[in-house]
Parts: sequence; C-alpha cells; structure tokens
Amino acid sequence: MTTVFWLTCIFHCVGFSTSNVSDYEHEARIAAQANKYKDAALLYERCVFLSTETEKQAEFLIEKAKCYWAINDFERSLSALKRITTYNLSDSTRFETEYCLASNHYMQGNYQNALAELQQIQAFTSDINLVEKTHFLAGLTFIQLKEWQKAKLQFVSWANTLDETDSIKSVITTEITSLLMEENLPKYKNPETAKILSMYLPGAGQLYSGFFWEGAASLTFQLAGLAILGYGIYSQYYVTGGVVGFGIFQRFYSGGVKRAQFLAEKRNFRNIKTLIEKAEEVKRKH
Amino acid sequence: MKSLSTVFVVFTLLLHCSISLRSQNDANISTNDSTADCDVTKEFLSGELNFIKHLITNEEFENTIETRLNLKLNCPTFIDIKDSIHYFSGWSGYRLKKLDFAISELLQVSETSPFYVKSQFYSSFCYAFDGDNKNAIQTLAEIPIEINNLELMNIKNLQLAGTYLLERDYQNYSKSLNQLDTNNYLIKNETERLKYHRSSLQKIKNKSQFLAGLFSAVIPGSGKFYAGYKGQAIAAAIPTILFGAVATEQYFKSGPKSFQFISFASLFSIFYVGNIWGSVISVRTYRDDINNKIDNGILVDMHIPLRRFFD
Repeated sequence: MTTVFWLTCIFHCVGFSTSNVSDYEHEARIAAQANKYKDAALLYERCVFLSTETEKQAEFLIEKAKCYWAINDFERSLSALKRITTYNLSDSTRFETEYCLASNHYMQGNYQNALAELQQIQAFTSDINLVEKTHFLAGLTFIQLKEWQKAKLQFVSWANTLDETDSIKSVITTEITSLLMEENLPKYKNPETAKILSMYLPGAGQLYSGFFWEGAASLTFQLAGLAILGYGIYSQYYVTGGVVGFGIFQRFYSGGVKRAQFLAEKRNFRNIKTLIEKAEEVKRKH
Repeated sequence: MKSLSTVFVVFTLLLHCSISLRSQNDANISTNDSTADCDVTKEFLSGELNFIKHLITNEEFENTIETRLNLKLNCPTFIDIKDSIHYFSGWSGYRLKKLDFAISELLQVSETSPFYVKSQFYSSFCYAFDGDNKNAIQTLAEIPIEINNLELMNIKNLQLAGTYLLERDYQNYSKSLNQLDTNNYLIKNETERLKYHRSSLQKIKNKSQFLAGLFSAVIPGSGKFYAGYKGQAIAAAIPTILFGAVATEQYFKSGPKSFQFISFASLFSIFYVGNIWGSVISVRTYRDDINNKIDNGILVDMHIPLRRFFD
C-alpha cells in the first residue's frame, strides 16, 4: 500500500509538470516553425495572458512581434512591442525590447525613430556588451539619414567589438570605412534641381539623375511635338499643327518634369540601398 | 496510513479526470465534430472569456475574432459566459468594420445579458452602416425599453429618426423626431443636425438625364455643368472642341475623303459621343455623391449619441 501511495504522489506531480504557459509556448514555436505566424502570434498572446511575471510577458511579446515581422506586418509588431513596459525589466530584456523597437522603426522606414531608440539604448544601458550590439544598426540608420561621419564612427565601434585579432579588425575597419570615404559616397541628386533642369532643358533632369536614355527619349518626343507644330504652321495647317504638335509637346514636357523629380529620388534610393548592401556584405563576410 | 492512501488515490483520480476533461476541451477548439460541442466546461469558457477580455483591453481586435472563431458556442449551457463572448467579439467586429460578423455576434447576445441593449443598438447601427435600413429599423423596434427610461427612449427614437432618414421615409422620420426630447443633452445637437440633413435632402434638385445629354450635344461640357460638376465641364469640353476644330480644318483643306479628315473626325466623334454619355451618367453620379455625403453625416450623428451613452 505504501508503494501505491508513493506512486500516486509521483503520478500526481506529473499532472502539474507542464503548465499551460509552457504548452502554449511550445505550440507557438511549432506554429512559427510551420510558417503559421498568425497562429503563433495568437499563442504567444495566450502566454502573455497567462504569465504573471512582467519579464516573461515582455519576452512573449517580443516573440509575438517577431511573428508579425515574418509576415511583414510591422504595424502589429510595433503595437505588440509598445505594450511592453520597460520599467522593472532586466537589462537584457529591456535591451531586447528597445533594440526590437529600433529594428521595427528601421524596417518601417522611420529612421529618426529608430535612431532615437538606439541612442536611448546607448545612453542608458549600463551593460557595455549590450550597447556594442547596437553599433551596426546605428551605422545603417545613419547611412539612411545621410550622416556619413556618424555612420563611420558607429561602424568603427562595431568592428572593434568583433571577436577577431587586431589585424583582422583593422582590415574590417578599413573595408567598411572605405565605403564611406568622400570619393565613394553616393552623390545626392536633388529632386528639385532635376525638376528645374527639365523645366528649362527637356531631358536634362533625367540625365542629371543618371538616366540617359529616358532623358534622350523625353527630349526626342518633345522635339517631335515642336516639329509637328512648326510643320503645321509652315504648311498652313494652323489648327492641326497647334493641337497635335503642341498637345504632344505639352504632354511630354509636363510629364518629363515630374518624371525627372521622381528619377532623382529613385537614384538616391538606389545609391543608399547599394551602400547598405555593401556594408551588410562586409558584416556577412566576417 | 491505509485510509490516507485511499483518500489520496481517490482525490488524484478525480483531479486527473478534471485535467483530462480540460485537455479534451482544448482539443475541441480545433475539432470539427459537432457532437463534441457540449463537452466544454464552464472553467474552459470562463478562461476563454478572460482571454478575450485581455485581448479587448489591449485592442487586439483581430485576435479576438480569431479566438472567437476557434470556439464552438452551440451548446445551450453557460449562457451568461457565451453572451459576454458574443458581445466582445461583436464589438471587435464593429471596431474593425467587419459589419456582418459584428451583426451576427451582437444579435446572439441574449435578453438576460447586461450587454443585451447595447448589443441591439450597435447591431442596428451596423445594419444602417451596411445600408440594410429595414433590418436596422426592425432591430431597433424590438429593443425592449421601459417607458420611464427617458434617456434610452431618446436614444432609440433618434436612431429610428436617423435610420428613417437614411431610408428616405420622411413620414416616419417626422414621427420619431416628434417623440424626441430636444432639450436632452444626449441628443440635443444631433437632433438639430438631423433636421439640417433633412433640409439638405429637400434641396437636392431632381435633374433630368435627358436634358444633360441634350446640353452636351449642343455645347460640349455644358451637360456636366448642368449636372453640378462645374470644373469637369471645362475639362470635358476642351478636347472635344479641339478635335472638332482640327477635323473642320482638315475638311476644308484636305477634303472630306482625305485620311487626315477621317482620322480626326473619328477622334472628334468618339470624344463628342463620350461627352454626351458622360453627361447623362454624371446626373446620377452627382446625385449619388450628394446623397452619400448626407448619409455619412446622418450616420455620424447617429453614432455620437450611442458612444456618448454607452461608453
């Protein structure tokens, strides 16, 4: 009977060995692995609901936000992260929350907000190992904000934190800072300048933005319009020449001005993207 | 020792029965077997209700709907808990403007629930927002309100007046309006606004589509001007007049059989006929635009007192 008693005790304990939180957490991980991110997010929310510790709640909300990242729903990930109260959290969880917030803002293209979060981490986190993790993202954010010198400083700090020999660190530093040397920096194409150029010299704005063939095509069509207008006047078909020739010219002229402005923005976006890719390539290599 | 062990074994078995029942309920969330519907326990449903309340507090409305859809609430037991679940999920549907879902959930809240009256008012509003005024009126008419509950009676009559106005049933609108206490703070401003919407509806002129077409046939663009689209009239007239001028020039200089004349005359004809047809259509479009604008105003003025009273 004594044996039965002890077996009963063990059996009893088995019943409580798995709590609901860990069950839901396990299910959430499985759902995320199966790419069912919405289901995983809801399961993580159940974990948040059932958890009594703010630390664990924060961890689950971070996992939930990551599920929304996977489906590019940055609004919902942001609202999940914003629910975390960083007061009373451990340094590492608070860092993770603020770093995720910064990453979320970066992915949404809100670079000023991303920078504000990163600066907050760098200013208020006492653990230097955690601060070191922010340098690369801060460097990328400064590139997006076209603050090249600040970006360079962040990348140098990042290279110094790597677990490599001094000679390798020096190579990485040279490699990444060379990307931000004056001569390698992408030239900023001012959309307003492109617009004004195309207003006075058709096709020049496109050429300024680096799109030669588009500029040439725009100029050709506008000249063709003017040629039709001239020929109409010359052959005394004033109305036809005016309507058809001027119509073609006017359409391509106003369209060309707007297009030049857009192309300058496109060129700037591409240049920054290339620079970011090169910086990420350096990080990947090492 | 023997008796203690026996008691402990019995207790443990009972406990595990309860745990296995709970696991079974968890499994019921995803099962499609309708025979298992009544296996849910009160604890399980309460737990789900608390989770839904947690979602609502955190404005996780989509997750609320998702959680509700995973639940089976066909069993005729635990009505109070189910009412609350229906109410909160309906509220989430309303917040996300998933009107069909909101209506179906809110209408399932039973009369015994403290959420019943609010659910009925909001489901009626959702019907009206969805353009189903008949059901909105019917839902409102069926809300049981005690005669001495003046505030709620005023809200009901204002909703009825608004919905009748959306339905353009002016006779019943006036009846409902006359029953309102226009000095009541809950509805005072909105009553005035409803009167303003009524007068705006009266001012809408019933313009003729035939006349709009005829005007555009005589002077291109004038039909649109007549319909009410004054800016569009010039934009519509310019290409028609220009192609007409080119076709005329080609007629006199190149002759009626020339390729140039035929091309430009065809272009002119397309623009000319298109302009007439556009003017005919624009009479109705303009009328619909004005009506939609007024309807949106009415819905806003129906919505504000609801939020003011219930929230």
